Amino acid sequence: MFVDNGINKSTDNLNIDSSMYNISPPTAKDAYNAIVKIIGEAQAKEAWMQACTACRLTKAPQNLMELKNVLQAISSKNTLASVPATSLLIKIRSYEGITKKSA
Amino acid sequence: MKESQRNLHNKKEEITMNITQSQVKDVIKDPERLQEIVALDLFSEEVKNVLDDVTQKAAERFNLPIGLVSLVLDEAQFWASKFGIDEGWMSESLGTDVEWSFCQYAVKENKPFVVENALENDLVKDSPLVENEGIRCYAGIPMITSKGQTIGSFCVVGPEERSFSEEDLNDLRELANEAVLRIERRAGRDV
Repeated sequence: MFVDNGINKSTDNLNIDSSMYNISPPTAKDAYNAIVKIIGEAQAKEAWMQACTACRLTKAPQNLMELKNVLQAISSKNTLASVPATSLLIKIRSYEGITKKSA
Repeated sequence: MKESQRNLHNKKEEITMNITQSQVKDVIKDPERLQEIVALDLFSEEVKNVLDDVTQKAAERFNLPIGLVSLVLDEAQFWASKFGIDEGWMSESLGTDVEWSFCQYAVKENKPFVVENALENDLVKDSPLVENEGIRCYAGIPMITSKGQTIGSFCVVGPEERSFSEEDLNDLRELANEAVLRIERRAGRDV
């Protein structure tokens, strides 16, 4: 299935030392599940697929840049899905920021 | 210690004892609360413009470097207005992971959340914002809309230990109310 394809794959090119604060950056699966938790499976699947299509992805995000693009596409619409999408973008940026500062 | 200070201290201890991480998660992920953030169009750039002078006024009133309107989302806090964070990664990220935030506790309890010395507060002492960014004091007032939803926290933040009196919290509450009023009027609500 389109949504499931690759969604479990970790966005492992996220170059962050997650051991610092016992945290780990969100994966595509984390992101999708976070959206499901807020708007439910059916709507989340639709929003996710529309965003992947808008980003010209034929399968789920395989790296951090693709994940950010998908989340940006979802967050740009003023719907309930924009909340978890914006949340996850901030979360990723904060992991990146604190890690760069600590490096 | 004065009676009013003792009462405030006791209230803060009570809040600390009542909060667990799992309870916080339940409230912050409530879809009805999050829908209110969408209904008020709070990710719009225009929101920042109507709030910036209020967060500035708060920072100046308390002689602290930072004043914020922090919207507490499901996984992160988003700063709809940030006075005093003009450079560095926090300026670019416009927020942080919600687990690192102080504001989540004001939202969960629907009460002011005060930290006089973050190094001694079990809820926040391990946050990267304390260890890495040097935050030491915090006072936040829950921002409650006319629909009864707590969308975030109006807060001031500083790098040194300090106390906040009842009068301080009353002043901060007035500014928080002003911020909520502006947000709702901008969204066309008759409040």
